[in-house]
Amino acid sequence: MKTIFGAVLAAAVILAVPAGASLAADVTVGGLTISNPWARASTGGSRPGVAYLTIANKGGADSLTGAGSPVAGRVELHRIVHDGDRARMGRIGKIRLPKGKSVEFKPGGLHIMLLGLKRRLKEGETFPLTLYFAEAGRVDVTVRIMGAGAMGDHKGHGP
Amino acid sequence: MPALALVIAAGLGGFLIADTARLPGGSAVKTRVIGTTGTVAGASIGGPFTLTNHRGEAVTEKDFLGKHTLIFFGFTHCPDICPTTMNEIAFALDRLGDRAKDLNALFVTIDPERDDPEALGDYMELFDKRITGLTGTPEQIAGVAKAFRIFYAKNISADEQARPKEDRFYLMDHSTITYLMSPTGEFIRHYSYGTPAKALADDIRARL
Repeated sequence: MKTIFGAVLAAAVILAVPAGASLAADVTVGGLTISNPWARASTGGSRPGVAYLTIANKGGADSLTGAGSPVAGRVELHRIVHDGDRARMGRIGKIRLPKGKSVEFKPGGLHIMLLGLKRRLKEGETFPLTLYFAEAGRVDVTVRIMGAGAMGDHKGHGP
Repeated sequence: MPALALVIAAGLGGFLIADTARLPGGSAVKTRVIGTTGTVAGASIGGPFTLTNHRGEAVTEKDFLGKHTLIFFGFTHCPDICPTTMNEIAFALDRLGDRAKDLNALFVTIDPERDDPEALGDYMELFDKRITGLTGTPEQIAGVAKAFRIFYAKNISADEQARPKEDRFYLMDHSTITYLMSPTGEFIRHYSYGTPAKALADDIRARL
C-alpha cells in the first residue's frame, strides 16, 4: 500500500513539473491523431481561455462532439466567421472529421473555448483536456500553455 | 432603442447582414445592419471623442495628435481575435525600437459593460504597457465607434440566455481592422486582421 502510494505520489510530482513539448505529445486513437494541443495563457478575471489542436483522421468518418477539462466550468467548440472585416463567433455542436482529412483549430478559425476557468492558465504549464468523439469515444490530451497572444507554431507571426 | 445602441453600421462589410442580438434580461431583438458598398478610401474615418484611459483619466482625440496613432477596437473577454491583434501590435512596437515612442497605440473597448479602466489596465499589462486602453460610457463608445465606422454587436446565444444570470456569458461580434491615423488625426490606412507584426512595423516605419 505504501509502495503504491509512493508511486502515485512520484507520478504526481512528475506531472506537476511544468514542461511543454514532451508532455503535450501527439495522441493516436484508432485512425485519429490529435497533435499539438496548445492554449493561450489566460488573461484573468472572468475572461475565457482558448485552446487549439489538429485532428488528423486516417480512419473512418468521425466527428468531434464536445470537450471537457477540469480547469474550466464549461468547454465549448467555437468557430470565428469572418465576414469582410467583421468577426462573428458562434458555438458549434459538432465538427465533422471526414476520412483522410485533417481539421486544424487555429487562431482566427476554430477554437476550443474554456469558460469559467477554475485557475489561471500560466505560460509554460500544461492542463488536461478530454475530447469526445462520436465513434472514437473519449480521448485525453495534455495541452501546453503558451503566451497570451501566442499563435502556436504558426509561421509568419510574432517577432 | 437599446437594440439600436448595440449595433453600429460600419460600412466596411459592403453587404447586408442580419443579426440577432439578445439583450440581458430581455427578449431576442432582430436587428439589421446595412453596410454601404463604399470603400475605406474616401470615407470619413475618425473624429472627436471623449473617453477614459486605463489609468482612469479623461482623454480626447486631441491628446493623441502630434504623433501617428494606431487604433484597434476590441474587448478583453475576446479569446481569439483580440489577443492575436494585441500581440501583433506589441511585436510591431518592439520592431520599431526607439521609433515606437513616435506612435500612439490605442485599444478601444466595444464592451464598456465589462471593460472598466482597471480591467483594461490589467489587459495592457499582459500584452504591452505602451498600448493605451480606452473605455467610456456606452454612449461614448457608440460615438467613437460610429466616427471610426466600427461595427459591434453583443452576441449571446439562446443557450446562454437560458442560463442563470451569474453563469451567463456573452461575446461581442466586431470589426477586426486596425487603423493608422496621421499626427493631425486624419485616416491614413487600415490593416486587416492577421497582418503580421513585421508588415505592420515596416509600413509604419516608412511613414514616421
